[in-house]
Amino acid sequence: MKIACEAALLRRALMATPMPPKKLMMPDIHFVTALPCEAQPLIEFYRLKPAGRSKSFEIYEAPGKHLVLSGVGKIRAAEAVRFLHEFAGKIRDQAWLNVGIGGHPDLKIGEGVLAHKITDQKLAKSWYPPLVFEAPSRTESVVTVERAENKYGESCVYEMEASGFYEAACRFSTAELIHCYKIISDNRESSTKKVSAALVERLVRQNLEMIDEIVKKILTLAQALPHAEIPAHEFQKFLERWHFTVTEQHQLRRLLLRLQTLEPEAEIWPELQLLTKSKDVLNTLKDRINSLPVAL
Amino acid sequence: MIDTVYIEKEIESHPRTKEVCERFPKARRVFCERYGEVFNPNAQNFRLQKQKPALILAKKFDHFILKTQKGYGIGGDHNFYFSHMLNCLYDCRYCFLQGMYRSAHFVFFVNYEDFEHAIEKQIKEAGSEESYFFSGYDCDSLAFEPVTGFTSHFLPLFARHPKAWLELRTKSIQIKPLLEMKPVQNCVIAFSLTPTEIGAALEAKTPAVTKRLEAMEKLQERGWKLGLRFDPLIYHAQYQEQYERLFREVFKKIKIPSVHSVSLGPFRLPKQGYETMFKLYPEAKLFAGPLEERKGMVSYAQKIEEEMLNFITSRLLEYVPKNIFFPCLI
Repeated sequence: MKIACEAALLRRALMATPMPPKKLMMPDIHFVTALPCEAQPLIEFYRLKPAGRSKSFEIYEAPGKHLVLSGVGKIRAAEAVRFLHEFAGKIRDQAWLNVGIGGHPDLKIGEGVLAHKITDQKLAKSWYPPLVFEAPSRTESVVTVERAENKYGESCVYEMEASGFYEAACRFSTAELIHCYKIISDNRESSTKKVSAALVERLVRQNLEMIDEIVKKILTLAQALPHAEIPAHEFQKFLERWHFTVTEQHQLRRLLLRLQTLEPEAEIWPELQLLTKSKDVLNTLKDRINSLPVAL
Repeated sequence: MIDTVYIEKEIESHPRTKEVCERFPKARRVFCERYGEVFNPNAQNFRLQKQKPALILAKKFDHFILKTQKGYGIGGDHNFYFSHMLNCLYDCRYCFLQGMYRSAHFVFFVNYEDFEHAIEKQIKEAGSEESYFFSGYDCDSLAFEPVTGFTSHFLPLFARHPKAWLELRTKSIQIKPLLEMKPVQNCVIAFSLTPTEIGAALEAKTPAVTKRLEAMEKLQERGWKLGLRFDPLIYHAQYQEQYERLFREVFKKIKIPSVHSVSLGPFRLPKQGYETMFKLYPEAKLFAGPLEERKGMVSYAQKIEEEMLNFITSRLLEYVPKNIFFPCLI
């Protein structure tokens, strides 16, 4: 709750400089990174500008893109997701990508992998990001641990944010649009002790092309989501003219959507304006739909 | 075709798991505890997943066979259905599976032997009475045949029990294994049929009706019993002439002695399923059209439904004797 309020206040404070108009039908990509050295190459590549800073998180943005710097750990990652969702206007079904580093027993340093399974080691709970697009990189199981892993017990990527990020993002979007990309920073041959900010920044930079390909694939996939909707100002006209109960509002929205599909150019407002009761409005819409020739 | 195979750890070494995995050597293999972890989470979009569904190999634990709803049947009193798979290769806009499952991944239950025991137990309980077992409720019975080997496994079982009928419901033309075996007299290969124009508009990824008819002809020649399923009936401005043409085409090729049963069913969806499907495909004219809710079901307005049922029934009965006609009015 605290995070949500903070994000809302921050967004309100920034309202004086409104966001550029968004392209219709294209969702935004939300990046979540733990460390500044992971974020910096993305900030430069996507020309993101500082958009705000709270006590807990920093946000960068460009049209259609946001990045939140979460700090280390799954709890911080989850909070950062909630914060960014709130900050970006609470719009559902946006694309989310967690970019970070991780260790793997055998994979070579710098190799990037998409998660096909995320396991929270402490909770013994797993998630399975659906790979509905052709993964441009290798895919691996990712295990989120509480502390940096040096034993590399299993053949998987060990890291510290994915489970928190994924579970939180699933509250605001659909799983097909939420992914984790982890770049191998350490392995049995090269321990975590050798991982420096400079190394991480270099590894992320080396992976920018791949990250961008993944982003494009997620955004292309997102375009297959249904886009039919009644513009808010259109719907508001109805609510201002008549009183609809909550159930009736649902019915109204559904009827307007159906009419829009069947008769996109319908001019029904003049006919409705003559009516005084909301029920008559709903019945008129129903009658209109039922009177249209049925096409496949 | 399949990029990802999820495998329940418990059945990793099951011979059928190994066979399926061998068919998809390049697919990534991801292990899970129970298929529900992958299949059931809330935040999934059926429409997006339908673009590239994964295959989940799982073990079914209970409810291997279930009683059908009253009013569903092709002449018997003891009717059951069973599903060795959940979800379908095809993408028919009217299909209730879109509204039932959150995921479009294919779930394949590898433990056929447990289904087999449940079916045999039921047959035993029915004694001298006939039982009917319907496959193809939660999936297409034949579409995945090259992967599942479903018919090769289950048909010999029914061949041993002539009092038990098996219906394989399909839109598929994967009939090779059927053509290679001796027809099982208590098995009905039931094809779902719609007019070509409706198929083209609403049945993505399915074989064309002409191809289904060709497959049916081959089965007919081999001596298999056929079922004709005009279900769901789809209403639109030209439905009368299109269904009339469909019946002419079907009965020119399919001879009544080969037909075990004919059924039809109106387009009906549970209210909740309709709501989900409308959200997934708000631009689909099928869901925007003259539908209404009656007793928890969404269907065409009563007048339309009655008109369509009467018309199609009367035309169908010009070709089909009443004793093999089973309208499904659930």
